[in-house]
Amino acid sequence: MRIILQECKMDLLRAVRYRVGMISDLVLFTVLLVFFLISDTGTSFGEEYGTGDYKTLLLLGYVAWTLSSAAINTVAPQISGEVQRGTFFLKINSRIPMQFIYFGDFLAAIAIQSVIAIICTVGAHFIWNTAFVVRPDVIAALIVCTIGMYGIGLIIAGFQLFFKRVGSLVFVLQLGLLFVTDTLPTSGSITRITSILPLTRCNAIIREALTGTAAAAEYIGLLLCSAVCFAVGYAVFEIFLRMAKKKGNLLMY
Amino acid sequence: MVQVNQLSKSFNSVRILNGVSLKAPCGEVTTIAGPNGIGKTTMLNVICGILYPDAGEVKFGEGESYRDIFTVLSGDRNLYAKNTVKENVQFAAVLRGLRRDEIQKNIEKYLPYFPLYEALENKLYEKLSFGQKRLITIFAAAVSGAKIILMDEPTEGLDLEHKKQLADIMGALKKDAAVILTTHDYEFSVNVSDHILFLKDGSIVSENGKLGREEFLKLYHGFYEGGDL
Repeated sequence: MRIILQECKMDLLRAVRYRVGMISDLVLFTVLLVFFLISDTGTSFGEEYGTGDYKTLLLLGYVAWTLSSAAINTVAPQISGEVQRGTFFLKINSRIPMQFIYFGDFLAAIAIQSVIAIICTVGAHFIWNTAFVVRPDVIAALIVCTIGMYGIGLIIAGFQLFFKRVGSLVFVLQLGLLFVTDTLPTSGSITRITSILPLTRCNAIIREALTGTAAAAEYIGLLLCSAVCFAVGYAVFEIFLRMAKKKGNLLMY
Repeated sequence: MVQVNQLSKSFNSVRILNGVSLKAPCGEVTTIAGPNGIGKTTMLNVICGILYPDAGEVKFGEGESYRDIFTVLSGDRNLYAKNTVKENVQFAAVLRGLRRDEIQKNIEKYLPYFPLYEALENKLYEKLSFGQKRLITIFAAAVSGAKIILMDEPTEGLDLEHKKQLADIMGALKKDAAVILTTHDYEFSVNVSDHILFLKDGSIVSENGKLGREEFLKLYHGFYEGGDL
């Protein structure tokens, strides 16, 4: 645990020192949210969940998406940088597996993204009168979802280890999640397929929680889905790490 | 202790290591010497576990494993540029499971060999000179309590004074660890090493995997004069 927390601390300190990265994230996510709210995206959520406050429902899904985006895009870029800088060697001989060390980076990324989400939420409240949603069940669903999405981030990081350049893949995936996970209104036939992703399940749960229709079985489903994603991500990362070690990919970036 | 048995590794059908064996016990500095491209760094990479061999094995002493290794790479790319020296040194030790009091104890233990640490501890790693970065990385290795320390070209970029300092440091490091280094700096290797292994054509050119200092110098000069080994 100390290793994970120390990794998180190191990464947060670096993020603060590279301020521009945080500011550009804030600008990007704010501009995107403003665009969705101005263009009245998400009106169908009002009908689906039986409430007139569809903007809050959209905002909730958007926050879940920003956290998930951070979760899947933490490990791969970090590893790419570390292998080039040489700091990867420090971690390869650490006391705990790398999948857990990078959990520290995930925590740091989620902390930063949470600050951005709070800023966006406060701004949306004052401009569009969206509701503040601070509920333990919603927060718990967001946490479980992001841990599951971290598992998907580990799968991408595994590809990164072996194939070295997957930046565009991550970008396409992040953008794709926006349209297929019901973050923006998505057809039922697509969400039935993407319900293997924690984000799709989370989006449904946090909206239903707000309208009082969330069932316990759905929470359990999210928990299992996230656990499976994490376990698969852990295993895939391990397999690709071994393949990269065998081929010597970690030495030739 | 590190014991390497019959290690072989090829890249794109070019054989880099060909049945190399060596033993590097705790309390000694073992140098792997040889010209560029001969496989010295590949050897360290296999020992530290970032590269799997095609054949052969790496064994460690009782209670030791890959997790007891600290690798000091060549160049200045070992620690985090945007973190301070202190943060980096502590992080390297935490990765090896040390507690805060153990880290402080190790810092105090090795501080006499690294007098520059106190002046640099609050500086960002990126602000240090090349030579300072090398020494601070070795300090991080020492403080981490690693039982096996691998160093790739540790004298690279160091002036004479820092090299002398590094030679003293080697003496302190080997008390608690097996130190394996690669180098082109033959004077340095002769000064600090208990064993010098000469690598040529993917194999150790020495009897029983060991080489005496005088013998090495003879070998080195013979090698560079084009003499047959």
